[in-house]
Formats: sequence, structure tokens, C-alpha cells
Amino acid sequence: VAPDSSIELPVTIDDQRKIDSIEWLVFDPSQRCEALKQCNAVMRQFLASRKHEAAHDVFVKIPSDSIDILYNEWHAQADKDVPLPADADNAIREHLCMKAYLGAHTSFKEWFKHLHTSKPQEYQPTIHQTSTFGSVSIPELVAEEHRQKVSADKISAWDDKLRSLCDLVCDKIYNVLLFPQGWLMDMRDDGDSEEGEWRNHQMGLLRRVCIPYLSNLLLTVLVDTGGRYKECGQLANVLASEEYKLYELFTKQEGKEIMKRIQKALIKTL
Amino acid sequence: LTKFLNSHPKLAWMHQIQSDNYTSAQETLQHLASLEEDLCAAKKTYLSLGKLAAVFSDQPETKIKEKIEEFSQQQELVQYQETLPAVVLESMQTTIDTMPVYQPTKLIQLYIGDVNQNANEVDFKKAFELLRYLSDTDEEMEYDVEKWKLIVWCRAILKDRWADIDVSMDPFESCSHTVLFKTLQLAHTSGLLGEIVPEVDELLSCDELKELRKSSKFEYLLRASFERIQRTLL
Repeated sequence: VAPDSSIELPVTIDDQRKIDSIEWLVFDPSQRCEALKQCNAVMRQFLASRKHEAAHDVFVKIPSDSIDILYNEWHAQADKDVPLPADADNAIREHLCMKAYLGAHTSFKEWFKHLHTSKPQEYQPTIHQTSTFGSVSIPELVAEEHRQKVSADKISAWDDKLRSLCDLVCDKIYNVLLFPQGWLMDMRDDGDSEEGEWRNHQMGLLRRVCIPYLSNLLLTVLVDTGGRYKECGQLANVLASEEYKLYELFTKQEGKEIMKRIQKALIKTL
Repeated sequence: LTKFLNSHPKLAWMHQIQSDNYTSAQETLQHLASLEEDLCAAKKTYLSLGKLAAVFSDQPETKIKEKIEEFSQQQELVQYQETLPAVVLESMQTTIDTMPVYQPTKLIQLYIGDVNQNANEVDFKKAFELLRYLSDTDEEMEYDVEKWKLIVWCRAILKDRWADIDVSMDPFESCSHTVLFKTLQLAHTSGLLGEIVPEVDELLSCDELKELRKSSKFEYLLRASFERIQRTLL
């Protein structure tokens, strides 16, 4: 795990090999389940080392109709009422969890880029009127007023966009935090093979890394978009909910830090 | 400063968090939640923050577990209020975000009252579950828990007209569509029935059932059904 969560590690040649290997598995539809499982496994590794870029590259190797193909393949050999095998069901669910996570991360990046790189500059007045009877001509005054208005419009359009991006990030992050029955949690027991145990261990680890990470991103977005302090209280409600028990995924230190951040936001609502 | 903050709990918990005193913050927030009457949403946030403060505090694990349990129970009570049917909220001219805090007895009345025209077995189940909160509220209680229990049963019974039900048939079939039976079934499958099943004689003597009591058909139905239920519980 990278010491600083904001640093995105580069994709190495070795990573690229892992990403490309998935391609070989998607040629044959009957291998789609295996492809999904391998893709999930590689993504778990990437996410654990915060390689979001690489994780995204693997994810897109799986064609979007894969879940349908999986079901079709299964129903070709089993009766309609027979449910998918537990391992396939779990793999599909994991794939959807990953999709939700990448979605949250991508929209955060968009918000971040908009905030830091595309803010229009505040308008600097070019005319300094010294007295009502100064030498400024009326056409110049009109032009000046017009420039001011254009600039104000630009800033307000930028601000609107920032707010709508903020809404989007919030939705996407809550999609992960409130993923039905828990993000990266299997719904079905898949026996206890050694491989399954390792997978469970990795998923538990990722929950402890990604949920606190996304919770902190959410606070960053709410605070830096400006004036959205009240919504930080909502995050406390979600983290403390007994249905999801997200508070269990924080270490004491992480928990204390996020409470301090929430408190700092809430003091502005008094 | 401490003296000043003691009289301003809304600031005190914030100071306690910043000075790493999570146990005190938990206590302050629990206190704030218990005092809050004006805004249910505010109470919810105090409970959430208080619970988190408890979780991340340096108290012994057993103490933390105890606190989580306490907060969770209160969170559940808020949830009962948040899931009030829309028609009830409208009648009170309020919304989820602006409603005040209602006491458990008030919540029971809202769930089983006339305004909730389409009250179904889920609403009645919630009303029965809310009875658990009656003993530990210190408001002056109009009735005791047993009386409330009978009131909820009466209201469930009165949701249906019983006049045209065929007594010659097995009541479990002829009455399966009634709110009373659906409530019984739901309470049974969720393991709640044992703690709420009433004394049939006491139930029949309730004033609210005066009209229905005149029909011997109805009395037979009710007695037969509850007797059968008692037996399944044994």
C-alpha cells in the first residue's frame, strides 16, 4: 500500500502482462466465467496497491455482455430453475462491486480535474476610475462592464459544473458504501477451498482499505466544493448504520481522523 | 473553558473530539440525542456521531460493545419514525427532514391510527415492536404496556369487517385475507408472537370490540384462532 493515498503508482511491464493475459481468456465464451474470476483476482491485487489506472485497464478487457453470456452458457447445460453455481454468482457480484468502485474513483478524478485545472481567472479591472469626471469615455465603461459580466458568467458556469460533478461523486461513492448487502461481500458460500480462503482474505483487506479511503474522498469533495458541510453529517449516519457496520472497517486511528474531519465540517453549520 | 462548554453541549462534543477525548464526546452526544425534541434528523446525527465516538474511543472492548448496543437501539427507534407511511407524514404536515422527534407511544398511535388508512400487517408488526421502547421511556405513561398491546390487537381486528365471514370453514382459511391473520402470521415467522400474544378474554372485553362482541360468530372465530396459535407456540 502506498504511504500517501494520493499517489497513483505507474503501470509496470509486469502489470501490463497481467492485464493483457485476460484478453486470451475472453475469446471463448465458455471460458467467460474463468475470465471474470481472473479479472477480479488481478483487480484485487491492483486495488490493494492503489493502482487504479491498471485496475481500470483490466476491467475494460471484460466485454460488457459477459454476465448475459455467463447465464446463457449455464442455461445451455442446466435447467432454467437451477441457479448459477455459487462461484459464478460470487464472481459476477464481485465484478459489479469493482465496477461501482471504479465509477466512484473516475468521477472523483473528473471533479478533481475540474476544481484544479479549469477554474477561470477572476477578472482584474483594467480601468481605475478616479473620479466621476475622470477621463474614461462612456464606450470604454460599457466595454468594461461587459468584460466583467462575461467573466462572472464564466465563473458561475464553472461553479455549476463543479456542483453537479460533486453530486455525481457523492452518488457514486454512496453506491459503493451502500452496495446492497455490503461491498465486496459474497452472498453465497463457496465451500472452503484454499483459493477461496485467500480470496476472502483479500476481499476483507480491500474493504478495510477502500471504504475508509472513499469516505475520506467524499469529505474532501463536500468540503472543497464549498458550503456542503451539512452533508458531512450524512456520512456519519452511513458509517454508524447498524445495517452495514462500516465503522468496523476503520482502525481506531483512521476512525479518529475521520471524526475530526466531520466535526470540522459540522462546526461551520452552527 | 470546560465550565463554559459544560453549559454548551453542542460545542462541547466538538471540543472533546478535537482534544482526543472520545469517551467524553460519546457521553455528550448521547446526552444531546436524549434531549433533542425539535428535529428527528438532528437526533439521528447525534446518535451516529456518538456511536462512532464510542467505537473509536479507548474504552475496554466490552464497554464499547455495550455502548454500540445502546446506540443501535436508539437508532432503530429513529428508523421506525423514518419509515412512517407517507400518508401519515402528510397528515402531520411534515417531512422526513423537518419532523420533530415523536415518542414511542406517539409512533404506535400513528402506525395504527385512522390516518394510516391502508395500515397492513407490517405496520402492526412495527407497532408491536415499538412496545419494547415503552418501558424505558420516562414520559408519563397513559397506559401500561399490556394495555397498549390490547389496543394494537383491537385496531388490527377492526381493520376488517367480520360479518360476512363463513364460520363453517376453517378460520385459518376463511380469514387468511384479514389484517389480523396476516399480522399473526408475520409475527409468528419473525419470532415476535410469543411476546405479544394476548389473553383472549381480556381482548374480548375491550370497549373497542363492543360491537363485534355481539356476534357469537366473531367470538367463536377469535377464540378458535387464538387457541390454535397458543398451541403452535407450545
